[in-house]
Amino acid sequence: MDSRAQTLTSTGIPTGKVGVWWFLASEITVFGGLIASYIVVRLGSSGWSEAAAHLNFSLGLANTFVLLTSSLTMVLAFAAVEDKDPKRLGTYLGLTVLLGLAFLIIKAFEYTGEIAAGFTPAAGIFWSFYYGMTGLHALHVLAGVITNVILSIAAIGKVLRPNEHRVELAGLYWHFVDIVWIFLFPLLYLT
Amino acid sequence: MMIGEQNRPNYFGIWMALLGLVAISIAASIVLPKSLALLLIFAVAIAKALLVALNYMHLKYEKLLLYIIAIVPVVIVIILLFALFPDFVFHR
Repeated sequence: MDSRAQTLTSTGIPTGKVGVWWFLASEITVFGGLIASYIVVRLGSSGWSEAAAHLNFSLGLANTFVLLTSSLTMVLAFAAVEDKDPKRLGTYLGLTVLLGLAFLIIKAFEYTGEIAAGFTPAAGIFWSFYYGMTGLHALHVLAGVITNVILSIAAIGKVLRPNEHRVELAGLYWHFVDIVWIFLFPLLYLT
Repeated sequence: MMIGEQNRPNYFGIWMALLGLVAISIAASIVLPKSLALLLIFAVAIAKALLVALNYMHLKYEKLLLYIIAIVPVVIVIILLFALFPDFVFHR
């Protein structure tokens, strides 16, 4: 039986997909607003590169690799749905969850080192932006991990079958979170 | 949406391209003068975002409506960026 998310809107696009894209549009303005503010405030003042030099570049790069790879495993989970291969679906969803957790653990290590060195969110405008943007992003990663855990449990319990379109919808969100990091990494670590 | 095995993008190839682009932006930040490096780094970031959106989010198989939903907020953010310039960047 089709769920409501799979019924077509008048445009011929499933309701669930239009809903997720609509949600992502609101997310673009949230992160876009933060990033635009960061750019103009940074261009209008000085001393940011010195502050940014204290970031742990290696951990930032490691997290870039982890998140890009998790996007690959997520899209391979979608391919497994198309191929009607539940075993592969469970494997790739599980890998995506593990990579999401790895991202959060690395980020936690990074925060710990920075705070121990005295770079708290109150240490200056750069650090306020840094913790604001990466913290909000990490919360989004956490939300994606929880969603993928729920999907993994359903896949293992073999009850995902009527709702497998949810893998595609969760994937749209996960890739969006990846795109946000694609912009945060150069803005914070490479400039 | 079904894409089918025949039409499926080369997901692994896209991942390799994304990693290659990360390497290019890091090399640019080391080798190039700062202003040139910044331009290249952001061009590369936009290219990476497009690769993910078109292939992993399957935007290239979608109808016009989804493009519009995705592009309108991006335009709003760009307008915001330039609207803030006079107050923050030119007002020093």
